[in-house]
Amino acid sequence: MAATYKAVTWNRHKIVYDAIVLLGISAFVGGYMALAPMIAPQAANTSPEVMLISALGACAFFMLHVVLAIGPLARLSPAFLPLLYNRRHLGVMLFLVALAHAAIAIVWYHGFSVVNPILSIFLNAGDYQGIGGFPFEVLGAFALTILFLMAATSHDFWLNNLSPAIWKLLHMSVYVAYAALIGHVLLGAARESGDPGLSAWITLTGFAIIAGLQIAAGVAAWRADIASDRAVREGWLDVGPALEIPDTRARIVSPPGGEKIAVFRYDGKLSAVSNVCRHQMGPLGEGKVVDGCITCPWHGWQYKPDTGKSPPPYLETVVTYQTRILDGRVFVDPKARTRDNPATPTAIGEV
Amino acid sequence: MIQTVLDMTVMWLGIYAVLGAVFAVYFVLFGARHLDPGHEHSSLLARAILTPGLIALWPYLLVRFAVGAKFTG
Repeated sequence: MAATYKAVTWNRHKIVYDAIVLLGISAFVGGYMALAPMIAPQAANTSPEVMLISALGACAFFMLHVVLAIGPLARLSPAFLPLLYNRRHLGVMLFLVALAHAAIAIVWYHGFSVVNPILSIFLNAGDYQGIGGFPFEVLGAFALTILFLMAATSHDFWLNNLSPAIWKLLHMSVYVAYAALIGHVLLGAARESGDPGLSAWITLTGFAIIAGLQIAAGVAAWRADIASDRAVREGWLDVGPALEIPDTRARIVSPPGGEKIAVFRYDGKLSAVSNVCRHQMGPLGEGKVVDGCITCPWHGWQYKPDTGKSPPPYLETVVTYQTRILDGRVFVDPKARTRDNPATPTAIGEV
Repeated sequence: MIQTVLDMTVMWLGIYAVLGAVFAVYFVLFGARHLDPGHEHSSLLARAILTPGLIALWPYLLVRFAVGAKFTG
């Protein structure tokens, strides 16, 4: 919204979310340092500093899996939407944990020679001649750079001034960082222990889970799109029975080749708006009507359902679509109304 | 050869970061409101928290200043 930027938009949910994440990080690192010597015998003779480096790295890698899983989980089930709301905070904390891992590792392994520690990562780590000898530290540095850029631009200022398209492209590079980190973990484990073993199993299991979730979410979205294509009648989209749309919630439909439409039920009537929030392109249809306004589940931006306009003093608007009810089923016209001529809500009970 | 290339790279990255820090100071203290009206009444902390991104992406914002681009919401 065209309002003054804040450093962090705190609310009770964000504070609780962040507190849980901080507790989780502490528990993970502490638990790792306590349990690793029991699970992996070679870790029993490892110094506390090296164990801390390993614990922080494992924690950051685990957090990255959680971050990557949240998106598809939220698309598969609304129960996971609360995890999505503050994913930005989780991402920034992930970077800080990864930075701590890298900083301690650089000091421990490269900080006590005459060579610049940063240069030492690239000069003394491996031979670059083959996959087995490839310096895993370089892969880690590459991934850390991507995570830094993502954390540094995790603010509405950057979304607005980089443009949503460039910002989105930058943040999709998390998958490039993920690929680099898989190499970092596997090559690092092979170098340190000679046998990646347990690390390889854990890493590949994590990858399988993330890939499986992305595929499942993609298949679900594809099926929903297929169903919408079949439902087009007289140029209008068949949304389904009006009474099956939960009160204050929406059903999302996909017009062929067009932007998704969210059809909300509220106060005994229906209104349809673009599913794309003007803020960070969040899925409006996964939100709910609160205090008479459609509320985006990602960051709480609001729009009046009958006009698509944000409540004063905000100026943002989403387009609206006309709905009608035939034989108890809701249909929506996929041609968007202009902002000056918004669609009129349809009272449930009209035939 | 490799060491020379790496030495040069680190040197230029350092220069880039120093220039970015200078830009960040200007932006946080004076320039923010000229680029984005969202900073018209923002707090110093709200501008300062952008510093890492300002140091990393200062050429892009400098170009936006130069062409007079302004985010209008």
